[in-house]
Amino acid sequence: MDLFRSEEVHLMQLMIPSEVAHDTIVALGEVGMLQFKDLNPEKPAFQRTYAGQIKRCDEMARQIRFFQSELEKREIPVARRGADPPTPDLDALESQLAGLETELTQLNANTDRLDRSYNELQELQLVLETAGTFFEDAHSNALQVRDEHALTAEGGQLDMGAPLLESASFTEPAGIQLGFLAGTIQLEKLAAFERLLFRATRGNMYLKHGEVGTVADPITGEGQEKSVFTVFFAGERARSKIAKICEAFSANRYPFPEDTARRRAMAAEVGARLRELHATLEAGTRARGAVLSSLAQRLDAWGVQVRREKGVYHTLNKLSVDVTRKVLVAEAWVPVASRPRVHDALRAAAAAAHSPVGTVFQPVVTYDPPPTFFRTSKITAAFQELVDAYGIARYREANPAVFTIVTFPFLFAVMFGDVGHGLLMLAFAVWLVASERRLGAQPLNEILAMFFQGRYIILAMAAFSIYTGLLYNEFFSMVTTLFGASRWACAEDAAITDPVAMQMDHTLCPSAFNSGLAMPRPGAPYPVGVDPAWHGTRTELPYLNSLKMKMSIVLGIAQMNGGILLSFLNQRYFSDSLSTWGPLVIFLNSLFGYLVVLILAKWASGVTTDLYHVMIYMFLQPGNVDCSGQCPENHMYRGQAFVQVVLVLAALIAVPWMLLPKPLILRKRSQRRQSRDASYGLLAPEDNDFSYARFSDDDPSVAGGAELGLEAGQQQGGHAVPAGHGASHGSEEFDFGEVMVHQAIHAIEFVLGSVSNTASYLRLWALSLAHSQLSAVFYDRVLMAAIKSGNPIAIVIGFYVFLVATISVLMLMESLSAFLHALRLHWVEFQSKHYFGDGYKFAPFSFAEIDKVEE
Amino acid sequence: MGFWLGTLIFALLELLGFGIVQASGARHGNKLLKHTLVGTTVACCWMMWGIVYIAQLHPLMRPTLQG
Repeated sequence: MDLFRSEEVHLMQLMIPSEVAHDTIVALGEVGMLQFKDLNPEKPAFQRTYAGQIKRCDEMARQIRFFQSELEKREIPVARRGADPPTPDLDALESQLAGLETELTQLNANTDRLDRSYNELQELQLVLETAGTFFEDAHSNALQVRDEHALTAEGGQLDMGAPLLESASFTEPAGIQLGFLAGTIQLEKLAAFERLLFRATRGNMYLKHGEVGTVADPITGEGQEKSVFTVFFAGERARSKIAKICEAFSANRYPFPEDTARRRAMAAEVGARLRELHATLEAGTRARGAVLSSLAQRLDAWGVQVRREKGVYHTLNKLSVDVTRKVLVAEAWVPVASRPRVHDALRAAAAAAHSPVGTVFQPVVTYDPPPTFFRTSKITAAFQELVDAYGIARYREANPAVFTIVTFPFLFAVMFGDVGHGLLMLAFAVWLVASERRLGAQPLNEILAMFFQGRYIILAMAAFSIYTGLLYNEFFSMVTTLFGASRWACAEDAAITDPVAMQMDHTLCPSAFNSGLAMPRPGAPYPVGVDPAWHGTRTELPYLNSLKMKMSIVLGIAQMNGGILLSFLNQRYFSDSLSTWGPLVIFLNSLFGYLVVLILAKWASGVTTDLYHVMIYMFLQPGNVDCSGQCPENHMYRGQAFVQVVLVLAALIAVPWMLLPKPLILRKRSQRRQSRDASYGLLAPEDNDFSYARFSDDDPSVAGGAELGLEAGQQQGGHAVPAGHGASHGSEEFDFGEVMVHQAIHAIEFVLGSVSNTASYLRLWALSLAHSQLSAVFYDRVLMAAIKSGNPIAIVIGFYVFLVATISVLMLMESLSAFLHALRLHWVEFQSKHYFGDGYKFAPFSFAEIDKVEE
Repeated sequence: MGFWLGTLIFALLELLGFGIVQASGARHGNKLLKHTLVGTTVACCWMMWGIVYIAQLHPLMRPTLQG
C-alpha cells in the first residue's frame, strides 16, 4: 500500500569521470532523487575541492542581491522567470555580472556627485534670492529712514523712535567694516544656532533668516526643512568663530557678493549651470534606468542559475576524489523506484558530454539506517506533516498517517459536531481548494498560508463535522427533523408528539413536565442521530453527557486497539519476536474492552446496572457479582462471575508477560554467544547484521536478520537507531539490569497508560459539550433574546453579535482547540502504542527544492 | 431491527466506495490506500451512528419539558 511503509531506499555508489562530474550532478539535480552522503566529513568547508567555486557563487549571489536592492530602490519590478530559465555559462555569467556591477556603481557614483553639486547650486540659488531680498529690503529701509530723518530734521522735531546708531551710520561714514556670512541651516536647528551665535559674539551680531521650505541636502541627499540665514558681525575673529559654529551646526555656507550687480551676474550663472546639470542628470538617470530594466528581465533567471550552481558545487564537495583524480566517487541514497530515472539521466549526461566512459552506478552494502521517504500527493502531504511534526517514522515502519487521514478529521468532528458550523467551514475549505492554483502562485500572509497548507485537512474536518452534526442533531444549536418526527410522545396520549405544542399549552399533556415523555415503541429510536424531542428539555444535558461520555470511551478503545494492531504489523514486518503485542491486547481489552461490551449491552438491553460499580467490584471482589445479594442489578448475564474472574486473571498474567520474556531471552542469547565466542566457529545466522538492505516488499520472509539489528538498538536505549552494527558481535557487555529496568518502564507505562489514555479520550465528550453549550448560549441568549424583544435595532445588533461570536469564538477558537485535542489524541494516545518515530527524512539534492526554498 | 438495517446501508456504502475505487484505474498501491481510506471512513461513520442509535434503544432517562 502507498504511504503505509516508507519507500525502499538503497545506498548506491556512483563513479563519475571527473571531466563530466559537473554535468552529471546537474542532470541528477534535475532528477532530484538522490541524497548524497558526505564522504569527506573530516575536511573543513574551505579545504574542499570546490571551495573556490562556492566562493565565486557567493560573490555572484551578492551581486544579484545588490542589483535587487537597486531595483527595489527605483521600484522596478523583477520579472518572474518563465518556464525554464536560460542557462548561460557560469564563467560568462560571472564576467557579465562583474561588468554590470562596475557599470552600475560608476553610474551611481556619477549620479551621486552630480546630485550633490546640483543640490548645492540649488541651495546657492536660494541663498542668493532670499538673502538678496534681505539686502534689498534693508537698503530700501535705510533709504526710507534717511528720507524720514531728513524730513523730521527739516521739521525741527527729533523722532524719538528713530534708531540712533543707524542714523549715525548714515550720516557718518562707517568706521568699522561689517562682515557677513550667508548660508542655509536646518529649520529645527535655527533657534539653537542663533542662541549660540549670540553668546559667542556677546550679542555683537545680527541674524536675519527666512524659511525656504523643503530642500534636498547636498550631503545626505534627503529633503529637509531649511532656512536661509545671513549673519552680520564685526571683525575677523568673529568671522572665524561664526564659521566654526556654522560647521558645528552643519549649516552650509555659500559665497555671497555684497554688490548687487555681481550678485545678479552670479545668480544668472548659477541658473545656467543648474539647467545644464539637470539635463546631465536626466540623461544619467535614463541610462541607469535602461541598464536596470534590462537587468530586471534576466535577474531572476540568473539568481536561479547561481543558486543551482552553488548547490551543484556543494554536492561535488561531498564526493571523494580518487587518487588518480580521474574519477569522483559518490555515495547516495536512492529510492529503488527512482533508479531507472537516475540511470537514464546518467546515460544522457554521459552522451551529452561525449564522454568515452559512462558513470558507474551500483548498490553498496551498508549498515546505516536509510532515510525515510514517503511519496505524498498534495492531499496526503498535509496529513503526513501532522505525523512528521511528532517524529519522522523509522525506515519502513508502519505509517500512522494512513489512518490519521480519516481518524484525525473524524475525532475533530466528534468535538466540533454542528451542521451549520461544518457548512461554514466547508465553504471556506472549498474556496481554498478551488482557488488552489491562484493562491499557490502568490505569496500569502502567514495565517492564510497556514490555512492554505492545511486546506485538505480543513475540507475533511468540515465534511465530518457536518456528519457528526447530523448525528448530534445540531444546526447552529437548532434542532432539525430531517429524519422524521420525534419518536417520543406524551405518556398519556401517544397521539400528541409535538413538544412545541405541549410547551405552548400546558394542559395538553401535564405529565410531560413532571415524569417526561414516553416512547410508545421502545427499541425503535430515531433512525439517524439524537431524537429532536430532547432539545431544550430539562433532561437534555444529563442524557447527552451520558451518551457522549460512553461514546468517547468506545471510540477511544477502538482507536487504541488500532494502534496495537499497527504495532503487531510492525513486529511481523521486522520479524521482531522479542516485542510482544499479545499481552497489550489482552490487558487493554480485558479491562476496557470489557467495559465497552458492558456499555453496549446496557444500551441494547436497557438494564439499570451501574457500570462503575461492576468494574470496581470486578477487581475488589472477583467472583462476587451482586455484592452478595446487595446489588442484584449488577448481575447482567449468566456466567458473569466466571467471565469476570477469567478477565481479571488474564489482565494479571498479561503484566509479567509484558515484562519478563524479552530480558530473559536476551540474556540467554548473550550467554550462548559468550560460550561460543570462547572458541572459533561459524557465525550463527542471527549474528549476521546484514539488515536494512534486505528489507523489500518482495520477500518479507528474509528480513529475519533485522531482528538482531533492532535488538542491538534496543539494548542501547530501547529506541536508538541501530547504528553500531559493526561492533555488535557479542563484543559489547550485556547488562541484564539495564534491559530489565527498561522493560519494566515500558510495561508500567503501558499499564498506567491504558487507564490514563482511556480517561484522556473523555476530552472528546468535554469539548463536544463545550461546543454545543457555547453555540446554544450564543443562539438563545443573543439571537433569540434580540428577536423576542421585537425591536428592529436590537435584532440587527443581536444578529451582528451572534455573527461575530460564531465566527470568532466557535469557528476560530473552538475549532483550534478541537484541532489541538485531536492532534494530541493521535500523537499520544494512538501513536504511543506503536510508533518509533526515530527515523530521519529523505532530503534529496533537487533543483526543484532549491528553487522552492529561495522563493 | 433498525440497527442491522442501518448497518446494511453502511455496508452498501462501503461496497459503493470499493467499486468506485476499483473502477478508478489507479495504480495497485494507490488503490490499496484508497480502499483503506474508504474503509476507515465508513467504519468511523458507522461506529458513531451505531453508538447514537443503540444508546437510544432503551433510554433510562426521559425527555422532561421545562416550565
